Amino acid sequence: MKLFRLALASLLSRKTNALLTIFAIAISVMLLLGVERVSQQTRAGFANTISGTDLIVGARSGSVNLLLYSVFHIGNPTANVSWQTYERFANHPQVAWSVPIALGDSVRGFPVIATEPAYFEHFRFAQQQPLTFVEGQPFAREQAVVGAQVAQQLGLQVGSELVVAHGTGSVSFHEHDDHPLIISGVLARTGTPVDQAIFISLRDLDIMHGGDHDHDHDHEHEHEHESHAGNDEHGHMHQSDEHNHEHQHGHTHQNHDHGHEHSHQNHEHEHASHEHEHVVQPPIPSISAFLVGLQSRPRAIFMQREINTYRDEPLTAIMPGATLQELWRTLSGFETALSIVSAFVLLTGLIGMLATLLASLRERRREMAVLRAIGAGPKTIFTLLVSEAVVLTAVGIAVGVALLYGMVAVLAPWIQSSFGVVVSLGAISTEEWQRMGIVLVASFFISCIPAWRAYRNSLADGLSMRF
Amino acid sequence: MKFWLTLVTLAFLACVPQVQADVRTLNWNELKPSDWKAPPVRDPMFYEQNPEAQIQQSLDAPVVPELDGLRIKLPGYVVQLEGDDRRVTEFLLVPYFGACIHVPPPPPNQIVHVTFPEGVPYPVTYDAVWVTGTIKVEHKDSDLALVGYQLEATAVEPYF
Repeated sequence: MKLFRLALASLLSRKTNALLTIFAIAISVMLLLGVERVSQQTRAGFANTISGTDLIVGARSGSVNLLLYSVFHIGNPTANVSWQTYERFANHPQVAWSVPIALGDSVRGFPVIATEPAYFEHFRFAQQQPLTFVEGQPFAREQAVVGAQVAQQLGLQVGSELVVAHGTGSVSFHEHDDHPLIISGVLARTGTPVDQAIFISLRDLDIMHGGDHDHDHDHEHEHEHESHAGNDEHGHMHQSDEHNHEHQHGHTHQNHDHGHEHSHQNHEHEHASHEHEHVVQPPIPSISAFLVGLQSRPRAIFMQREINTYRDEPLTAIMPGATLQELWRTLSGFETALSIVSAFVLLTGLIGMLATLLASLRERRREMAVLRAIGAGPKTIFTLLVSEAVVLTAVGIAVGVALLYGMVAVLAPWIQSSFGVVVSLGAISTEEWQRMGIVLVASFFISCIPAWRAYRNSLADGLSMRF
Repeated sequence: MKFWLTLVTLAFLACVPQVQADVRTLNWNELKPSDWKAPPVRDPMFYEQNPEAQIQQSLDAPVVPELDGLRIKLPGYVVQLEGDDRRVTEFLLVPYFGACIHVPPPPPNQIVHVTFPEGVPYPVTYDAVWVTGTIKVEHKDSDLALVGYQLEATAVEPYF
């Protein structure tokens, strides 16, 4: 105990050095734990974001890109999918449910997802958990549903008004303010990008983007999502005689039910172009992507192929799980690199400590000599130095953990809003305790080097002054 | 005491070979009838030029009903269906890597739908795996489930 007090007193007499050493160790420990924590939580956040969806379909692009923009709202769609194509697959016999989504707008930086109310029914996160409402209900026309984070940050509740802006920046100088929406519901917190999102109906999005207003039309028919001209202008750009030709091809190789679909489709197209009156008009000419649930999950692999080889429009279908798997595989090297870097950071911290101890040894020669002169044995000197190093490291670790928690607390909202990843202030995990243990043990062994040198220094060495 | 020991030893001896014999190591050819030939996997360019070959041709590929209920061990690649941040709990086992992206997926009798509640850690799924478990053969009349075999895995290990 006396020895400990001696070590402490000696340390206090060299405050600056000691503080710097503690700080160096704290930073390395923070990085060592932080890198691991962030990468794990990113992983968990990504993996828990989507569940229960068998396929995501978008315009032809990379699979990871499609997953990122459709589910994580990171990045932008490369191109759109026409409503006709969506309908074709939505009515496919293998498809149990499908939900279209259209992206591209925002409210104060929060992404707006135009979809159908069925989204809330079918979307699942973290092992098949459904979305739930804290208050309110799914949107109807001219209404919106907001995620937990949006409601909190913008102070919205059921009945509030919301103005959607064009583009995805935090401020847009082109707001659709002639078309305010009323909040119809607020979703429960999920810890996924859904918390950041605002959900509106496809039809409203189309109208904001200059699609035809159809108020009078709406009242006539119960089918709310109908507009005449919108379809003509956009949707039919893809229709041409070539496609009929393709369809004939299709009959020969596809199995029976598809063949049916095709002819039906052709029929519809003709109707659409010649007799406007009887066609069900799409709520929006094109969408960004759609989520699909199949009758049978294993069937996804065949359905994916069918969609990817659809000749009328270049599409990409992904199985979200398989794409995540691919993403992990891509990132696994990166993760290894990160942990190697943090290990080196720790090594640097420990070598820094060694350097400080060795330097202080020179400085403390007289101190040691005095100690030995008043009767401290070489063993005491050894213990003194080792215990000093261990105490420094222990304090450094504690400060590092505190720094880590402080950083997480400060940066978590920013990380969540910029990357859609929730980093929580969880308890220290077993692995983190292990890493801290390794640091402490390493510091013990490293401090043995200067301690050994001090042990070997003779009594006379310190007392005889050399200039 | 001695009696019990003998009994236990005997029981043990009786069990061990049986357990080993129980698990049959299959290869993918044994999952299809011997007279049936899988469509060849060709170069992606071939499919570009012959769009009619793009889609799964033989969705009603025959299965081998005799395998039903057997404990088997089968190597293959994992295509994830469901999982969390650390493990894959439900996947399709396919005989070649990259199945389904550039070339048509394998026929249904060359895909095994595996459920493994314990989960396979992601790093294991990056390469080929051995899957051990009880195989179930799908009835042919079920129109929707177009994967020929279901497997309830008890173990999934790295192939190498």
